[in-house]
Amino acid sequence: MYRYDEFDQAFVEERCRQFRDQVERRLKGDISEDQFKPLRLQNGLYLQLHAYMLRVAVPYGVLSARQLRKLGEIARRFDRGFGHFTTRQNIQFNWIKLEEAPDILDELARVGMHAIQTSGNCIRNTTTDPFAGVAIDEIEDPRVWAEIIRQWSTIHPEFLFLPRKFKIAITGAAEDRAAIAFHDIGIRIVMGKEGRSEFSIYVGGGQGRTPVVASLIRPFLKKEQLLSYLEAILRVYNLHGRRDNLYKSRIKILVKALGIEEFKRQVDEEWEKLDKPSIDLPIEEYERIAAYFEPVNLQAAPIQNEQVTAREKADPAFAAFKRNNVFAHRVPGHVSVAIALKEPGKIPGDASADQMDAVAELAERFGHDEIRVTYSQNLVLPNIALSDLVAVYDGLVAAGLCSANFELISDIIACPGLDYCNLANARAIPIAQDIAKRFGEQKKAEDIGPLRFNISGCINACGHHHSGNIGILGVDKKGTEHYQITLGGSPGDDASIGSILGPSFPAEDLPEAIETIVAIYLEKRENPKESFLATYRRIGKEPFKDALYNPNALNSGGQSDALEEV
Amino acid sequence: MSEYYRGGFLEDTWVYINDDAPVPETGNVIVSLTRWRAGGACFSDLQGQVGVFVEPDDVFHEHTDRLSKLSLVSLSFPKFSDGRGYSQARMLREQLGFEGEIRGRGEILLDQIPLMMRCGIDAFEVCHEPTIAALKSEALPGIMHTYQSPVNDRFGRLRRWRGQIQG
Amino acid sequence: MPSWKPCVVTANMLKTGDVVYLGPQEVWVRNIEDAVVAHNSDELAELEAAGQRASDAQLVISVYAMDVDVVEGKARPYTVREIIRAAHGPSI
Repeated sequence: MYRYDEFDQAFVEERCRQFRDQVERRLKGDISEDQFKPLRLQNGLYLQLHAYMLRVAVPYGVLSARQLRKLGEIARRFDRGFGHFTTRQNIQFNWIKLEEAPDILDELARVGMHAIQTSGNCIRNTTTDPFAGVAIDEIEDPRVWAEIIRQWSTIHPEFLFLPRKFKIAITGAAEDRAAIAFHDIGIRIVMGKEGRSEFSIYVGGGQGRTPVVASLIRPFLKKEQLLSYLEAILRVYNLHGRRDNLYKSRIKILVKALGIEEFKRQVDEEWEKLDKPSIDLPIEEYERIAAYFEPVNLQAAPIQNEQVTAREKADPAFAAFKRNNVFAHRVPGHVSVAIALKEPGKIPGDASADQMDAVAELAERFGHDEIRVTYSQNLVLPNIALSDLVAVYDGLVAAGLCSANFELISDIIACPGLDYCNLANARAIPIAQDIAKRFGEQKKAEDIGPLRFNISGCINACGHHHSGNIGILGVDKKGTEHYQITLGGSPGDDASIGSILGPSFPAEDLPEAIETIVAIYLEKRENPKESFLATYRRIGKEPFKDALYNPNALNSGGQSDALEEV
Repeated sequence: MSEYYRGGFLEDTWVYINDDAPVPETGNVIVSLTRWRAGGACFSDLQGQVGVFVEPDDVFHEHTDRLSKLSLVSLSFPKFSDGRGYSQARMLREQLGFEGEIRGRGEILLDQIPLMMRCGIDAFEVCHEPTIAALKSEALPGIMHTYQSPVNDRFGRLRRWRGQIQG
Repeated sequence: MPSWKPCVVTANMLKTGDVVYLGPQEVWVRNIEDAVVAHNSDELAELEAAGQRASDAQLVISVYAMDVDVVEGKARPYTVREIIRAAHGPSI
């Protein structure tokens, strides 16, 4: 993984001093809250319901053991002993004091970390495949380019006051595990002409109030031209994106208003005029950065291991963990292990300081010092020898991190909701807990199979409900929390936006409604291999709608098309 | 009242002339882009220099040689959070080869000034008292280590990916 | 005449982010029951002016007036959001 050199270290220390000075000026009253807010946001510091919240950048979700330990230490010293991993592969701390934030940034700088641009109307953390560099379906490791984008976008002086936030994702594998279609810019490494890998560039995807699947703007882009092309897109957006209406200021609205053809024309025109050599990465720099991402030197080993096989036979919990949380690795005899921070009944994405220490320890002893944060608010140990799998599993059991539900229905993506967030309309965490417990039984969850379940506490859609196979949106209905259900969203290659099923439910009726939806799926699927999403796409939403809103008509075979959606 | 800052606080020799006011015969004047475009001739008797003020949604499409007759461009930052002027500045410097003064006006705050300078803005009309005070004590809070080529290194003369601004 | 809903003024402390309410003598208190309740628009204007002063003095941020129920003379929040805020922690 990338390691800071003297330059990076000097830069981040300078940034810490700058922020300390900004905080001092704020406390003195030299700058007003209005003027301070964008400065603190560009350092990831929000004011939430109960306290300040600090979002720390985990560039493209990659952490070393030392960094994860530092996050645990920060959780203990400055927070209440835990942190919350986010869908941008970052971590946030919920109980932060403004006066201590500069000290926290100093601590982070000691391990090559920061909170730069984790909020604000600027380019945010670039996200990628949590299995980058080890996945068997990978064309090329996207982390090299994610790091290049990180450096290029860091305090890019032109793009810190964009109309709105800006998110980039990149994937290098056949299967998109980075939800690139729901990003302002999505980048996919593809095999181009002449057997050279190139980039396909997508633009204008996003969630929020107006969910949009990104459009292809350029099927093939030479890799060495990436930064100038990104700069052209950003410049067109910076100049022409709407600034009069917060809800219409993302690039997706500009792309829609102009049409992808006209937007592309403007980008190409701008790109033509750019001084590319001063923007694109010199080859020596590419090589310097790429060298950090050389594959870990692993020795191929037998793909069967007696200890693992024996444990699978003797221990159903281990067998379930291996079925759901253990993934093939490029090097035979190795696996990637997913750690689900989703024990039913717990807060999705939360990890305690002790758990962070435990994972760091496992990564050091067995995992070549590397941990990944996933889009789904979980962790991954990407490089584990099969012969160490039992030891790793036992370590996870001891840390209370052995939930065998990765990518199952109880592996719920949820935003903090009204329990912490200033913007939320409804709570998300208790809903996630209720539903996960309903489907907590392993056999039941596995029978249902892969199911992307997402909950957002408001229309800003931080829980990505639009792209959930089942999505829940919390709304405020005359002062009470209600929940709207959408079905059929998908964040992957077949990206789609969920469709609203019907009127919202009060919290107490929601788990029952979800049970009904799942029951319809189990009844209607053609065979146990047909996923929830596949069944939904085959039969449409009517059977689900009927079951929820018109059960009598369902029994008598009647129609229920008259239902109004809200 | 704003104070004029260009490396230090200086006397501002430029006067803004509204579209409905006559252009004086002497002195350095800043007129609207529209007026400058329309009235090339009415500036021919002028003893002083000509500059234009542009708004964030104005687009320059002048050729470099016509632009070179201008001595100053004044970019507007109606709010510090409106970042269009950063792009306008870079386009002026890097694409149109403008070498005169580019000044920022409007809500110019201390923390934005180093970023504006990196985009090619070299003068500022500052109204914000704490910013004036800080600039007088020479405390520019910018970060000297940068991951992007500085704007005056255009056309690859000093191409570099990472650099250090000389303080 | 529209019916008047009693109000208190709330904010977060600038340095810590803690949720606070405006109490007697312009002191900010943690417990909503200790907050001064405005029973009419004049009383509210006074509280809001005090809130503005504290904001100008870099003591608090995000100052706003919120409707409350009054039970035995003490303010009590009634929206889910304000109940969670007044509890100084999540509901779970």
